[in-house]
Amino acid sequence: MSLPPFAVLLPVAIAFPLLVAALLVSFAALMSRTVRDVALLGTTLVEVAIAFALFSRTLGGLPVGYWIGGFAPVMGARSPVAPGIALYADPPAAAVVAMLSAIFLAVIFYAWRYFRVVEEYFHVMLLVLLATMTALVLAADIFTMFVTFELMSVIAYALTAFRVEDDDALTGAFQFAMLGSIASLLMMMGIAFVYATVGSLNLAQISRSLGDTGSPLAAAGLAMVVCGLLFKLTAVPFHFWIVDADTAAPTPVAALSSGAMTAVAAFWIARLTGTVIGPLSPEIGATFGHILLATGIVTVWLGGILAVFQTNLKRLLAFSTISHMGIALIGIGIGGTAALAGAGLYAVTQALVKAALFLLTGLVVHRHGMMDIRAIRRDLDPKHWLGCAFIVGGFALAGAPPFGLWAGKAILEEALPHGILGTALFVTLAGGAILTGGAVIHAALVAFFRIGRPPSYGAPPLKDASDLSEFEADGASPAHTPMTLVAAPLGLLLLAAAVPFLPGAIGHAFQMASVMLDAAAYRATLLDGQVTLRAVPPATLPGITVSLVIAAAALLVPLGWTVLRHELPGARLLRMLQAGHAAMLNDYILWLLVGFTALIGWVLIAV
Amino acid sequence: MMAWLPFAIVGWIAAVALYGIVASRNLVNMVACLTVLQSATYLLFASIGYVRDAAPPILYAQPPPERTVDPLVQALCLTDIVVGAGVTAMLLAMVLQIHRRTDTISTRALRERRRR
Amino acid sequence: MTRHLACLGVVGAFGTVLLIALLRLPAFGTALGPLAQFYVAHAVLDLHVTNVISAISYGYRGFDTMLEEFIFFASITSVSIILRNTLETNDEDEAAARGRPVVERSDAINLVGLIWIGLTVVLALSLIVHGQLTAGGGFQGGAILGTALLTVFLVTSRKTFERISPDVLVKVADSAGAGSFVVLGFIGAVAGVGFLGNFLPLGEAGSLLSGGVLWLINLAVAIEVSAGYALLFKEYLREVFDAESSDEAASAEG
Repeated sequence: MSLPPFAVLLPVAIAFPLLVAALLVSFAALMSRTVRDVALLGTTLVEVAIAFALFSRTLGGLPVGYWIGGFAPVMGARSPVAPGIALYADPPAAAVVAMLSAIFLAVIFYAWRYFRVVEEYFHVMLLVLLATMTALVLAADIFTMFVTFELMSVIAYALTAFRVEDDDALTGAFQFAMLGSIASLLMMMGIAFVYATVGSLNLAQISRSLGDTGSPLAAAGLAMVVCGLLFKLTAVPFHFWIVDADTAAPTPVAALSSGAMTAVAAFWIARLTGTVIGPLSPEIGATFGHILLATGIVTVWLGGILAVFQTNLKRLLAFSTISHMGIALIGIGIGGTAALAGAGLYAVTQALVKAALFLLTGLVVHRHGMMDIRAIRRDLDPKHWLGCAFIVGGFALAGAPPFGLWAGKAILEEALPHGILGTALFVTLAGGAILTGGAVIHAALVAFFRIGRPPSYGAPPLKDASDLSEFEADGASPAHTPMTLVAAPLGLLLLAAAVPFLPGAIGHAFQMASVMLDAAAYRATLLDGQVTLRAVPPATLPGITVSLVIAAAALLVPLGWTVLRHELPGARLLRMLQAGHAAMLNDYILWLLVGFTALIGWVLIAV
Repeated sequence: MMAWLPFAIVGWIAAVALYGIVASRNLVNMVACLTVLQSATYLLFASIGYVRDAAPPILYAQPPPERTVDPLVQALCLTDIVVGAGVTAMLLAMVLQIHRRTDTISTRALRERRRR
Repeated sequence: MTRHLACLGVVGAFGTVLLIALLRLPAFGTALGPLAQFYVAHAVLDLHVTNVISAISYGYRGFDTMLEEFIFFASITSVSIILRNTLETNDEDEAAARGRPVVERSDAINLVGLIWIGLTVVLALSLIVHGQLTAGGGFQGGAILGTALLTVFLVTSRKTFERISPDVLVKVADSAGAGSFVVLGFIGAVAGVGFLGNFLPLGEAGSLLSGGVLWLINLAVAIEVSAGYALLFKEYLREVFDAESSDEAASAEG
C-alpha cells in the first residue's frame, strides 16, 4: 500500500475534527473535563500543523486539488463532466485556512480557563465549527459551499444561544437564526438557478460552461448567492443580526463570528467574482462591481457612525466589524489585482485584531460581569494595561502601522481609481478608519483611564446590577488573571502586527489576488490537472505617511466627545438610527428583503 | 402556459410565506411560515428537475427506463429537507425557552423588554 | 396600518423580482443536462446501485451528505443545549410525578397503536435496507423510525417511551452514526481509493448487499437520523413534562 498523496490532507483537515467531535460525544460519560480539553487543544494543534503544511506547499504558487472518493472528471456523453466533489487549496485558500487555525487556537486557548463549568457540548461544537470553516474555504463546489455555510450557521445560532439564562441572548439568537434561515433559503434558490443554467455544481465546471455567455438567469442566481454571502458578511442592509448576536453570545463565540466568519464570507465573494461572475460578461462583471462598491460605501459609513455612539463594548465592536467589512467590499468591488490584494490583507488581519479585541473584552466580562463602559468607569479601579491593549487595538483598527490593516488599506488606497469616485472612496476609507478606531480608543479611555465623557445619544439606561449569568461572570477574585486569558489576545495582536513584515508577505498578497482572479488557472488545475507555477512579484511595503495621519486623526473621536457639549445638528437622525437597531425582528426581515430586491433588481435591469 | 406555471407557483408560495414572516408577531407563526418558504424551495428543485414523459430515476426494473427525471436535484432537495428540519427544530427550541423565561412569544413584547 | 402596507409593498416588490428571475428558467420539462445523464448512465455501471439518487447522495456526492449529517447532529445537540435545565432538578421521578397528569390510554388505542408501530418499524427497516435498490434510504427510513418511537409515547405512556430510549444509548447511537460515516471515509483514504472511496466488493446490482461502502454509509445515516429524532422527541417531552416542575420551584424561591 503506497502512502496517500499529499492532497489527502485536504479532506483529512476537515474530517479529523469531525471524528474527534463524534468521539467526544460517544464517550462523554467516560471523559473528565481535562481529557476533553486536551482532545480539543490537540485537535486544534493538528489542524494548525496541517494548515502550515498546506501553506508551505502552496506558497510557491502550486495549488492542490483533490477529488473526493476518487470521482475525477470524466468524459460524459458529449462533454466532460465532473460527477464528484472537489476540494481545492490555492495560495489564498491556504492563507485563509492558516488564519482560521490561528484564531481558533487563540480562542480555544482562551476558553480553557474562561468558563468555570462547561458541558461537553461546547467543545464538540467548536470542533465541528473548525472543521466546517476549513471545508468552506477549501470547497470547490457551490452546493458544498452552501452546506458548509449552513453547518457553520447552525453552530453559530446554537453557540449564540448558549447563555440561556439571559433573555436577550435567546432573543438575539432567535433573530440571528430567523434572518439567517431566510437568507440561506434565498441563497439556495440562487444556486438552483445557476444549476438550471449549466447543469453542474462544480465551480470550475460552472466557470467553463458559463464562460462568457452572459446568461441573465445565471446572473440573477449569482446575485442571490452573493446576497446570501453579503448577509454573512454583515453588509448593509443585511447587518442587523450581528449587533444583537455579538452582544448576546459568549465572548469567545463572538470573537469567532465577528472575526472569522465574516472573513470567509468575503473570501467566497472574491472567489465567485474571480471564477464565475467576472468572466460572465463585461457588463455583468461591472454591475456586480458597482453593487459591491455601493454596498461597501454605505456599510462603512453606517457601521462607523453608529460605532461611535455605543456604550456597550461588544455592540461597539460589532458595529466596527460591519464597517470594516464594508472596506473589504470596496476592495473587491473596485476589481483588479492590487485592490483585491489590499482587501484580502485587510480582511484577514481585521479578523485577527477583532478576535483579539473581543477576547480582551472578555477579560472584563469574565472577571467583573460588565460590558458597559459607564459601569466599568463607575465600579472598577482603573486598569491601565488593559486600557493600553485596547488603545493599541483601536489604533490597529484605524490603520496604524505596523498592523496588517495598515498595509491592506494603504495598498487599497493606491489602487483607487482617479477622479471623483476615487476621492469619495478615499474619504470613505479614511472615515471608516477614524470612526471605528476612534470609537474603540474613546471607549478604552473612558472605561479604563476615566478620561473623557461616555457617548450619550440614544444609549440605553445603565442597569444597576449586572445581569450577566454566572456562566460567564466567574465571580472569582479579580486579583489574578490567568495567563491564558491574556496571552491569547496579545498573541493575535502580535500576529496581526507581524503579517506585513513576514518575508515576501506583500508580494504573496499580490500573487494570491492574481490567483483569485484567474479563472483559467482554476479550471486548468481542477479539471485538467495542469498546474502552472505563478511567480511572486517583488513588492515593497506601502507608505506609512497617509496611514499615520489617518490613525492619528482617530483621536478626534474622543476629543469630539469631550469638547462637544450641546446637541449635534443631526441628533434626531442619530436617535432614529439607534432606535432602528433596537427594533422588532419583523423590521430586520423587511430590510433583508429590501436588500435582496434591490440587488437582484439591479442585476436584472442591467442585464 | 404549462412551461412557466410551476415556477410562477414557486414565486407565489415564496411571496406568501415571506409575507407571513414579516407580518406576524407570534414567533411560532414565524417559524411555521418559514416552513412554507422551505416548501417553495423544494418545489423549485422538483420543477427544475422534471423531464416530460420520464420515469423516476430508479433503475431496478428490467429493462431500466429510457428517460428519467433529474436525480441530482432530488439529492439536493433531500439535503435541503434535512437542513430545514434541523433548523426548524432549533428555532422551536428557542421559542420554547424564550416563552419559559419571558412568558411571551410576541416580537413586539420582546422589543419592549429590551428597551426598558 | 402603515406597517401592513410596508410589508405588502416590500414583499410584493421582492415577489415581482423573484418572478422575473423565475420566468427566465428553462421551460418546464426540458431534457437532462450532461451531468445528470452521466449519473443515470453510470450509477449501475460504476457503483452497482440501482437507486440513482442514493448513488449521488452516498456515493458521488457523499461528502455533502457527511456534512449534512453533521448539520442534523449539530441541530439536535443545540436543541439539548438550548433546552437545558439550568435549575438543578435532582430527583427526576419527583419532577415527573409533579408534571402533567397521566392520561390513561384505552385498550382500543393500545391495540391499534401497537399494530401501527409494528407496521411502521417494518416499513422503516425495509426502506433503510433497500436504500440503494429502490426509493428510500437512510434519511427516509430513519425519520420514519423516529416517528414510530413517538407513536410509542402517544399510545402507551412517557415511562415506556423513556424505557425504550435510554439517554446514553440514544446519544451514543447518534454520535456513533455520524462518527462511523467519517471513519468509513478515513478507511477509504488509508486503503488508497481516496477519502470516502469504495474499498468493499461491489456486489451484483439489484441484490441486497450491493454498492459496497455505500450500503454501510446508508446504514450509518439511518442510525444517526433515527437516534437524532429520538433525542429530539425526548428533549421536547422533557420540556413539556419537567419544565413545569422547575417553574414551580422557581416561583417558590423567587
